[in-house]
Amino acid sequence: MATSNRGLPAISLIKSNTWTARLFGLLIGLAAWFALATVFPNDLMPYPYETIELAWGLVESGVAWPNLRDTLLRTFWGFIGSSLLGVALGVFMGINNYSQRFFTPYVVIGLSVPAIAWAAVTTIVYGFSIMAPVVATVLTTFPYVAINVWKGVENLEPNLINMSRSFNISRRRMLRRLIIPSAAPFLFSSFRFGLAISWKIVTIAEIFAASSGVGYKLMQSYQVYKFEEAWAWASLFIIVILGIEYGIIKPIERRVFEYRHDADFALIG
Amino acid sequence: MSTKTAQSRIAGTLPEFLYTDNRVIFVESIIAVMVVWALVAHGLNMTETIASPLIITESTHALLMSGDWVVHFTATFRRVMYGFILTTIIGTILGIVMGMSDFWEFALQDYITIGLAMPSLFAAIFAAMWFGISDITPMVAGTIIAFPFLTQNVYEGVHNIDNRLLMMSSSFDVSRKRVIKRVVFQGVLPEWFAGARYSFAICWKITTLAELVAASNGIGYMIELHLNALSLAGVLTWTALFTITILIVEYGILQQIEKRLFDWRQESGMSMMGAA
Amino acid sequence: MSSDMAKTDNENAVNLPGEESGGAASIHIENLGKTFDTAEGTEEVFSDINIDIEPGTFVCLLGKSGSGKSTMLNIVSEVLEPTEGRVRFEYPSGEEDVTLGHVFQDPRLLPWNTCVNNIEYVHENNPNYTDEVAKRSLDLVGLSEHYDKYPTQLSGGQRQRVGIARALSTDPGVLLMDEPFSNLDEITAENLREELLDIWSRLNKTVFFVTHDMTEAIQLCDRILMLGKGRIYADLENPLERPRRMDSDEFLKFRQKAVDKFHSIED
Repeated sequence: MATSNRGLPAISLIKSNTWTARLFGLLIGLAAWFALATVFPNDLMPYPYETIELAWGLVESGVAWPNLRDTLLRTFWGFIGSSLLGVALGVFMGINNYSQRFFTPYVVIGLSVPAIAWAAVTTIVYGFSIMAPVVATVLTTFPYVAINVWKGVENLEPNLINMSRSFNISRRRMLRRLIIPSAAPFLFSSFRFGLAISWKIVTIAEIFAASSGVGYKLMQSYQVYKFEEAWAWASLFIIVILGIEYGIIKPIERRVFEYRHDADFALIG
Repeated sequence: MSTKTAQSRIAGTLPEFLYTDNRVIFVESIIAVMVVWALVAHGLNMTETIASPLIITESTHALLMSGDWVVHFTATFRRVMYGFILTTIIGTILGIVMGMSDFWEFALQDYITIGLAMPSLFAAIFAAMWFGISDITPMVAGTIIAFPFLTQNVYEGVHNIDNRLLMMSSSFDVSRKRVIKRVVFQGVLPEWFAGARYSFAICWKITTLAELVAASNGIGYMIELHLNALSLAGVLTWTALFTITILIVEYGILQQIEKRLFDWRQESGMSMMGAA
Repeated sequence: MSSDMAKTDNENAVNLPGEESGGAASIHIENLGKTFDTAEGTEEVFSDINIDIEPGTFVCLLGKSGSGKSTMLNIVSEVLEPTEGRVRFEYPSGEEDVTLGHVFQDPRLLPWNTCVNNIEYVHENNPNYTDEVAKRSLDLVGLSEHYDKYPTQLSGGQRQRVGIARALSTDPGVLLMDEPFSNLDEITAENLREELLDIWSRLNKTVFFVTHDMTEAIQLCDRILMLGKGRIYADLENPLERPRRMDSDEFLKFRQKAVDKFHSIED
């Protein structure tokens, strides 16, 4: 029953070095892909290099960029729209009890309605314009942004605000030095989450509300049974997503969360 | 704050219950939506395309009465449950492994990141490619998208287990089995529950998406049917039914379970939200 | 204050239901030493410690932070293995299998269990356990109104009391306390100290109490051991009669002497 003392357990060979672990993980993934590709017929599960070849072919032929661009553009607008709406709602819900109870049903319903429903609705209403995927995205995404912002506002400590008032700190200074840093982690979660959801919804909306875009191309490949092509498109887009995740989001995340030593944000899902 | 004074000025003239009673506020909220909806429809002169609330209520009622909805709802529900069960198994096990072992956490973390960011459409289409029109398609698609969320929640829960409680148990000679049951399991339960709940919601949505891509019945299938017929009323009717179902499950069932399980916490707050 | 203490029916009740009281046990620390292996090399916390404690006495172990007093307590409570030597316990009957009750600096309660269930948690191997045992323990520490409350519903002082009740509920031969009041505000700590003395005088347990607060040590114990530089460098008998008044001349004089002795290790 006596537990071991402070001494570390024996360090085993392949070990807690994060990079070796990650490499190991990456290799298993590739091995699994390879194994599946061998077992399954080629069109259902192409080999990694085949996919890369095809994907590269798409890029070279100039087909890739316009579609990626369109999807990203719609994602961008959807993200902006949902952020504006979400932040507004979240702020109201945070500062005012009445607003909270008033807007909550919208948020709750917003969380419950599936993206395809909004996409179907906006397609019928807007037809093939860019509004269809964008509005569908805004409607699906804003509740998540709203909740995170609301939690951020709630998190503001009244004690700190009182203290600032007692020192006669100006509103502007409070906003910049107290309110925004305090809400920053929540805001960050909102936007990061909002962005990720935006591209998910945009791709869904594109299957019927657009004539271009990654989602559209993916659906097209599926419908004409050109499955390898679907894989190629998916890989391209995933590379882009990973680029955004690791290139932009994670560095910002590190900066925002620097002063906290507890990553206690189950908000990040 | 100025919002409060403005509010109290207006509020001063209204009967109090209009702005303090929860149910009244809820009703006000719904009325606001209805009004805006009706105004937009009329204003844009699109009463046909943006079907008015009345039409939707009528057709929803009609659909319910006709009983046509049963076969589709059961199909969807069945697929959701399959997906959710698989998600729970994979997500919980993976979450525990990653929580207890640094090595596996680092090895698999990137897959979780990708899983969280993966567009659900991809999962739906690839599942459809492999499994065609069957119950397996939505199940697999749902699992792929949902399990990373559960995994993340569980392994954070494991990380958060208070080491001092383990030490205290040791000093009182509590058996390992009892410690796992009374400290580890109970400690992780809140996070697990939040993750499971969120995953459940995701399973619903991915299932309907997969049905839209490849199914011969189900809610997603019906929505696509009406979409292709350009019937906004049809789409909205099915959406309404779907939403109401989810709300019943969420507030009728899950919230009650949550209250029972976790009344030792002193937290209020909207649960579905907590996992967002 | 004392009004917080529930008056139990039988003022002299020592036993908890279903158990024969083992009474108080003696503690024998023999040639105890502890060395840690750290990344920078080995670190000897203390060595060659020999202490004998009579049953029923209240002993304080005093030391500055980092002196190793918590480590020593952890070894005595069998949570940690010593590098050399051993700790033995013995009831007056000669029985050496002694139950230990441990009270921590922070309450360490399971937040998802009620007070009663928190106590029940440590009674796994007790076939005679009923909720009565838990309730009687809670009565002892003045929490009769709080059987079914959760830790989040209690104040810091109340939670600490539950911790004490939990330790007492096992009818231990020795009560091991690791700076149990240092995280509380002074008024609450004062109250708890008085209540602890009251419980101790009624139940007659051996108490091994670690602290860094000289005044607390003098107020509570019969004997003060001072730990520093890897050894016990002082072992003072507390001459003051109970009940002790912190503003009396004798108290202040003894305190001065003890403080001087305490700081003597620096030279």
